Amino acid sequence: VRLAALLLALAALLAVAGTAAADDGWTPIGMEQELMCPTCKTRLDLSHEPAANQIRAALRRAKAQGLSKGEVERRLVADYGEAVLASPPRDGIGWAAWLIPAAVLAGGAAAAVWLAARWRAGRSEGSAALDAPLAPAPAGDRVRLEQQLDAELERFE
Amino acid sequence: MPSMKRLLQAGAVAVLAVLIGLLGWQLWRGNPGADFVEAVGKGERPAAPSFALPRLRGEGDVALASLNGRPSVLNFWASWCDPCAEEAPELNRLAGEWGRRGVRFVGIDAQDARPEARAFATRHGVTYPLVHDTGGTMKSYGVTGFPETFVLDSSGRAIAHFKGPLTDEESLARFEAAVREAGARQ
Repeated sequence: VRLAALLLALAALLAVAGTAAADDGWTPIGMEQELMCPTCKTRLDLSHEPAANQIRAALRRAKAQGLSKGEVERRLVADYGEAVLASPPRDGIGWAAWLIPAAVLAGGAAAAVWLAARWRAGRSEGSAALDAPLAPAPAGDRVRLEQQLDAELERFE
Repeated sequence: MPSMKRLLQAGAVAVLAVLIGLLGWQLWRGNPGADFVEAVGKGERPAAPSFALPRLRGEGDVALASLNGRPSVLNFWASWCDPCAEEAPELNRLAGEWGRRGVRFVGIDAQDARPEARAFATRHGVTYPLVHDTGGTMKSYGVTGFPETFVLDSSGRAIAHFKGPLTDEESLARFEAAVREAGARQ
């Protein structure tokens, strides 16, 4: 009897764990932001159309049944088509919506890295020029410069 | 080797070219559904866009090709649509009356959950074939709301289009004239 009770408790635990795993923590309200109203073409959470309310009710039922987010999405796509998903499909022309922003971001990042590298190179060249020791003036120039300096100091006295 | 500046310029031009290409493709593709509805409205009798859709109840598909040879009525509807519920008894009556005269009725459920659609069909005692569309057929017929109904002749050409429920006398008179014109037996 004890063994049977233990097995039953274990089975119940596994069932609860299985449901929790299938559910994967999604919420109907959160998912409304990832779906589109099929009739008004706005995000589901912003729509009060009858079709949107029907999907909302379906989300609540799916949550109560413990369905995973992926399963809910599959069922919605089977009923309403890909257009029910707010994110563009990952096939055909839908790829363009994913790839073009990614390409622009990658290009922007590359440009930023290149500009930063150029700026740093320019800065270190300037700094090296300032730190370099000054070459001594030629002897003839030194005499001339000393005479010029003496003359200007006399003018101030 | 090309400089980084040149590469960036080439990248920007490529992105711009892709965007212009997408815009051009979209413009070139146009809106075949709207063109179809417009042609029906002008009385041009355009060929109805083909489809093969799964039955809402039972197994298998219903294809437009299987309807050719007889006049047919395609009714686009959804279970959440109140005017569709209002229209359902009238549509059942028309399907019974014109079905005996060789007209085939097909209900195309779209933008709808299938369990709710089946419940709607049971609740309203719909007996003609019902299919489920995930959007493609609705789009190709230029359907923008529910219910909408098309009358096709025996060669699959659309001769009439109705927006809204077939419940008022004027719509019903137009519908009856259209199914007669489509080749329904007298």
